[in-house]
Order: sequence, then C-alpha cells, then structure tokens
Amino acid sequence: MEDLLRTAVERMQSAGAEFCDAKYQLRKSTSIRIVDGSVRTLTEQSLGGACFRARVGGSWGYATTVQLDKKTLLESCLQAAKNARLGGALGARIPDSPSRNRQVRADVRVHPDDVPIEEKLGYVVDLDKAQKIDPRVANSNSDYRDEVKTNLLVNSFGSSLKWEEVRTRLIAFTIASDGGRQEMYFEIADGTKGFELMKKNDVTAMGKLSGEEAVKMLAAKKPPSGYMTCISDPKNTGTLAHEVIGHASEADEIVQERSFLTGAVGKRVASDLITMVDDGTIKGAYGTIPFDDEGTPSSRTVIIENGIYKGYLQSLETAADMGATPTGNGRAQDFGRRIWVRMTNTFFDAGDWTLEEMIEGVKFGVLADKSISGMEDPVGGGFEAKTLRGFVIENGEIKDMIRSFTTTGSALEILKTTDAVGDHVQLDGGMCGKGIEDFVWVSGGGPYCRSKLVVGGG
Amino acid sequence: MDLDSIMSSAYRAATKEGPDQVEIYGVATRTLSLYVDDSAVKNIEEKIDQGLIVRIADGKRLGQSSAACSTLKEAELTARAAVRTARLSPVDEMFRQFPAAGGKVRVRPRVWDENVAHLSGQELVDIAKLIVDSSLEGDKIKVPRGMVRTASLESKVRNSNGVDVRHAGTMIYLNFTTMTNGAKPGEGVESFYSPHLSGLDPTAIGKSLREKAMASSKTVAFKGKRKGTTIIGPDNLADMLMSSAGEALSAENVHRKRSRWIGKVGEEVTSRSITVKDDPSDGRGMLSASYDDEGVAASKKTLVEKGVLKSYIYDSYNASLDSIEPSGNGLRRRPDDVQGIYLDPVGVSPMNMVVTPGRKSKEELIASVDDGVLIDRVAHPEVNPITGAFGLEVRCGFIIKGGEMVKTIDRALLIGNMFDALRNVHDIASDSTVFRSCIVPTVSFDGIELVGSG
Repeated sequence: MEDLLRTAVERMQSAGAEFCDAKYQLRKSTSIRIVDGSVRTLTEQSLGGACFRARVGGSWGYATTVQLDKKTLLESCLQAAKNARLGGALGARIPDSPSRNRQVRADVRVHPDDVPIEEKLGYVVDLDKAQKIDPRVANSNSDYRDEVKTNLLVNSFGSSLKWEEVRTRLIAFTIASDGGRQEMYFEIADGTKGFELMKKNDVTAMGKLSGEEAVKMLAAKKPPSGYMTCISDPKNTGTLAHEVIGHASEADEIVQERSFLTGAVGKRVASDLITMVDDGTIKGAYGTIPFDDEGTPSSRTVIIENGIYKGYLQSLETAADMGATPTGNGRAQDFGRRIWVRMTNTFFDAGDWTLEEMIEGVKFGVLADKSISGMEDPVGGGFEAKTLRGFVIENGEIKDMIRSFTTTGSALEILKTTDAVGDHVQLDGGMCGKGIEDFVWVSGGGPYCRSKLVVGGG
Repeated sequence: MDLDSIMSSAYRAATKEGPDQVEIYGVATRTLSLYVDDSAVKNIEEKIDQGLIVRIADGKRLGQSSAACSTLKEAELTARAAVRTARLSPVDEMFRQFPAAGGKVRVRPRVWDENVAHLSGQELVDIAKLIVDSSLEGDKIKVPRGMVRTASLESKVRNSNGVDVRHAGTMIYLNFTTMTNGAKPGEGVESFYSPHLSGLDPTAIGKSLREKAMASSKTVAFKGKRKGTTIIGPDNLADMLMSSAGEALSAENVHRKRSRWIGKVGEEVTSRSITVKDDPSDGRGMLSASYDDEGVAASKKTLVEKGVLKSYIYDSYNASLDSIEPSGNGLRRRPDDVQGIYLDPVGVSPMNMVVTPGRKSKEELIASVDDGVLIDRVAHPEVNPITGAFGLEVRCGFIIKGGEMVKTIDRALLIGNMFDALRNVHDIASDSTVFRSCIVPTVSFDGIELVGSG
C-alpha cells in the first residue's frame, strides 16, 4: 500500500498539485450495548479506505474510496487533482517541510486486539447489573467501545508515516422514574488506552453510582434563571474552555476573520487567573494524537496565559496563510472527511482555590455538575453549555439539587468575571463537531471555576 | 466488486456457518461535496463508499458485524465475524425473528433524481457561486463558510425469511453562512434539504442569507425576563420536535420506559391543533422510501391526530415485543449524509415526520401576536429527550409588539419544556419546510420564557 500511495503522490504532482498527500486508514472497533440486561448490540466494525488530497492555488481537491485495487486508487488520485483545479481559489503556497519517516505504535498496556470479546462482554454485563440499585431505576444502558485506528500517510514533502491510535470508552447511562417524572444520569470512563482502562476501573461502583444519582435526580428542582454566579465543575469548565475560546482559536476562523479573537494576540481576554492550553501530547487523554491527519506531530499550544491571548491552533494551510508554524491541529473524522483545524485536549490550567473556598464566597448562585453538550459561536462571541444538573448555592452553602440547565453569555465578559480557579485539573473525553458535523475525539477540562453567567432551564 | 456480488458472498458465507437467521444490509453511495471558505470555492470532494452490515440470529443469540467492503473476501470475513459475535452473545429472550417477507409495497415516493445523481463538479461550482454572488453586497457581507453536498444511494436488504428489497435515492443538502463586516458582525444561516435539484433556488437562498446577516448585525443583548407568545420556525422546530415527540413516539423508548408518552395511546398529548403524520410517500422527504432499512414495507401513518396520540412507531424487534407487525420505522439512513451508513445500527425513527400546517401565512401569524418573540436562530435546537426540558441560546430573535417586529435581540436563553409547549400551541402557520427528516410549519407557543442578562 505504501508504494501505491507514493505513486499516487507523484501522479498528483504531475497533474499540477502544488502540495498533496495520500492516506490509507483502517479503523477497527468492537461495540457492546446492553440495555436493561439484554445485549442489544454486539458488533465488530471495520472501516478502511483511502483518501487523496491535492492543492492547486488555494483550493483543495479530495477523492476518497473504499475500493483499494491499484486501478481505482490511481484513478482516484487524479480525480483529486482535477477537483483541486476546479476550485480556482487563491491561497498561500504550503511551504516545504522536512520529510518525516516514522512508525508509532499506540502506547497501551493491554491492546484490545488481545482481549477476547467474552471478557469485554463480562465487564459490560456487570456495569449494567450494577445500575439496578432501586426499583425507580426504569432503564439501564451500558456501552463499551474500543477502536484501533491505523494510519499510513505519504505526502509531497517526502514523508512516510505510519501510526496507530487506540481508544476505549465505557458509559453507564441510567433513567430513573417515579411514575410521573423521568430523569437521567451517566458516568463515563475513557482514554487513549487499551483494556487496562476496564481492568483499573471498578465497573460495579461506576454502575451503582449512575443508578443512585439518577434516582436522586427525581427530587431535583427547577433551576433558577437569570444572570448569576456559577461555579463550573471540571467537565463544565472544559466545555467553557472548548466552546467559549477553543473553537474561536481555530486558525481557519481567524483566516476568514470569522472569529471574535481575530487580532487578539497580545491582548487581555480574561482575568489574570486564566491560563488555557490545547495539548495533543498528554498521555492517555482522549484527544491525544501522535500526528494530526496531515502528518504534523501534535504539540502543546498555550492559548491564553494569565489572561493574555497568546496564539491560535494551526493546520498546514492556515499556518501558510498566516506565516505561522503548524501546531498539529489539522484533523478529520475519518479518511472520508475534510480536514479542518480542530482541538485535541483543551483545558484551563489550575489555580489555587479549593472548591470549599469558592462556595463560601457565594451569596446566591449555582454549582454546575456534569456537562452534556455545548455549542460554539466564533462570530458572535457567545456560547451555549448544557449541564446535566446542579446545586443552588445560598449564603456560602450548597442547598437544593436542580435539574438540567443551560449557561450562556458573552465569552470575553465571562472570562473577565472569573474570580476563582480551582487547584486540580481533570480531563474528560468527548466528541467535537465543526458545527454539527465532522466529529473528532477530544477531551476538555480544567479545575472548578467561578464566573458570572446567564443561567436557565426548563 | 458490485454491491450484489458482495452481498451474495456475505450471505453464502454466513449461511454456511449454520445460524438460524441471516440478514444482510448493503449500501453503495457516491457523494460529491463542495465547500466555500471566505466566498471562494475551497474544496471539492468525490467520495465512493460501499459496505455491509450482517445481522445474525443463532437461536435467540444476536450478533452483527459491519465493514466497508469492496472484495468478496472482505464480505466473507464480515459474515463470519457476525456469526462469531452471535455465538458469543447471551440469549435475548425477547427476540423473535428478523422481518418476514410478503409485505406489499404501499408507497412509491419519487426520491431519485438523475440530475442529482449525475451532477458534475463544475455544476456544483456554478450552484455555489450563484449562492455566494447573491449573498454579497459590496464589502458589507461575506460568505465565510458554505457547503453543498449531493449524493446518490442504493441500498438492499436480504434476509433468510425471504426479504429481498432495494431502495435508491438521491439527496442535496446545503448549509451556508453569511457574515457582515464591521465591529459587531451579524451572521445569517440558510439550509436546504431535498432529494431533487428542481426545488433549489440558489439566488433566493443567497438573498435570504444577505437579509439574515443584515438583520443579525442589528441585535442588542436582551435584558431581564419575559413570558409571552414565542414563534419558532421550521429550521429550529424540526430538531426540537424530533428530540422530543420523535423520541416519545419510538416503541424502543416506550419499552425501555424512557418515553414521555408511555401508555398514552388514545389520550391527548398535545394541543388539539396538532396533527403529526409519518409520511414516507412524500417525495420531498429525505428518508422517504418504499421500505425501511430492515426491508419492511413503509406506510403512511397518523401518529398524533388533533392532539390525541394514535400510535407509536416500530422496528421489527420492538414490534415483536408487542406481538404486532413492524410499522416500517427501522432506519439506518440519515437525512444529510450517506457515508458509512452500514456502520450504524437500526434505530426507531419517523421516516418523514410531517406536522399538518395551519391556515394563516407566517406573516399573518406574526401580525396576530400582540406581545411575543420570533426566534430566528439559536445555538443548537436540541431538547432533553428524556425530560423535554430545553435552554437554548438565542443568537437572533425579534421582539414583537402589536404585530410588528420592533427590536432584534441576542444573548438570551429560551427556556421551557417541549412536551409542555406542545400542549400550549398558540397558532400554526401555513408554510411547510423540509428540514432533515421533518416537514414542519412555523408554530407559535405560549408559556416559553426568555431570559437575558441584567
């Protein structure tokens, strides 16, 4: 395959590509889903194919195929070059880069390929059983997924890279009902890890916790609404980092002058308590990658340092456009999708407050507990973060549990109101879309943070 | 290797292993996409995809395997993996059988358009340029991002109970954003969904994008709280309905005790002005088809009639739990993308959820509101599928006073519960727009709260 990809690169160059790459990717996974004790899904998946990408002027042409015979592959690469010529956009030339020749195996202790499917199933059965701790648990759901992704990339820099990524994820998701009302809770464990993630994780405790908390949620009250103090837990802090600043720091948004952070380097954008980083090199984190999908090694990028905006996340293209250095953030969902500038592991760095100290200082506010999802707004500088539940804080004390709510506000105003940052960083994995498509694995997090936001929930 | 050959190879290989039941779902697709960045054509992509998912029942043990497949050997490996997973799986006492053959064709929607299937890259460029050119207004507006995706799909389902059906469809989906230049940029967003090219009017889309961006540039942050009539258009309402009513109608969710409409067939669940149908005969529907993705004949069904819940929707598994025939709602396909469909498990979903429109035009509906808000754009119109609660960041809305739109707002949260909102429908407009797998009108609701800062 490597020889074929190299030939494809040569043909795309002959067809006018100023830069091009050829990639083969194989993604193999095992998925198990147990619902109320029944195995609803036990499946093995295999998604393999090739992607050819050529650049002419400022336009890209892609051609992807799952037909891997020589004739189809060499026809596809020419289609990519043809598509690139059709675009006609102007753009900077991708500067030459030293060629890289490396092979990287995933750094895992127990490779999923070495674990029998029966053993994987056993853990998921235990997770599901453990959720049924109370008659009010109406529905238990347990999901396991491991994925082994093998990439082979050849490009017109002369690089030839082969690397492997392994991810494992386990989810307990419980619905509780008291007859009239239903509420949900979930627990997730994940990482760029092998089956050691399961062996180290007490699945019974995880399932039990999900069941117990779902039942407690039945007593949760309607959240307050309005502009108020909000202490975000590490998951919600991660969503804030990701949605408020992370997406707006993706350099394709900057090149298009679509982001409110265009021209922000060197300016104060947050209180001096805030330092924010994107780091694709953190061992075991869900968004960690050895190389991005363009073959650039992943790296640590400081986005905000003590409140001052420092820099953007770059792909080969945006780095060329801005005269910057690629940061290893050119990522695609899979071989069949476009490469965009994307985050990896994005988080606020630690401060020196304890959670107790933060709560003590709040006259009235909420503690946001467990993030569900978020949505960026690079143009308007807003954001939306949905929280599974929370707690009212009154006169420095935790009071009632409240059900799901949403937080929003102006990104720059919020970060300037941050007056306390916790002393411990936690990362949690998830999926991130560019808008509502093109999902890649990432993680986000940070410490507990105290800010002022608009809060409300139905 | 063509789809028929790899499906036959997988079927033979699976049968040879001796399981009780075999089902093969195969799909071959071609996608041609174009991306606009910064008002210029940035990417053109052609994608050829083909794959299988093999489901096996060995007694009451179920397993499956899926793969991108282009060779007979890959098809055989996929089939054997499915048999292996079935034999490792615990017994599922609730399982009966894969769908039986014999369901007569009840609907024949026109969802194949040769013009879409054979669209060239140059034709796609021409469409995109027309949208961009119609959006621009001097140096006031730009098109930072846009995408046009066209696709054709051929899918087949074959099982050991005699099911052997084929579906072919095309789709065109586009999503563009415009943005005004200046210190406080406004953003406009437009989408289009259709199996056919004929309904696409790039100039009208461009004009709407321009107008929306200009309107959005005039927003002011909403302050305080208000509760009045809230008008929600099809582009937001479709997702809000699918993630609430769509989930509550699913027999899977009913059986798992996570539907809000458990045991409510025959009862009033919405305002009497609401009628919801699943209409796979409608050629505008992105998922309309003669058969669902398990090979069950699809049919037109009334799900909610004048507020009363008439029936749930079923795939074969959940139908067998209730000892009834499946309703043809076992779906793998998606309304906006055809890549990798063979990787997705069967889910229970309306094929084409249609809300019956009202009589007033959208303009008349707005004019009839004394004190309200028209929501133009929210961050992401999703609703908690379990509880129905929502809190949506409003990125552009219009305050209505005395039937007139008097102010453009942003920075607010729209707060409510979708199941409650469906019981508090104020009025329904006569428009109807396709959005993903829904065709819905503009609807106004009472009781939804708007909260801003200050």
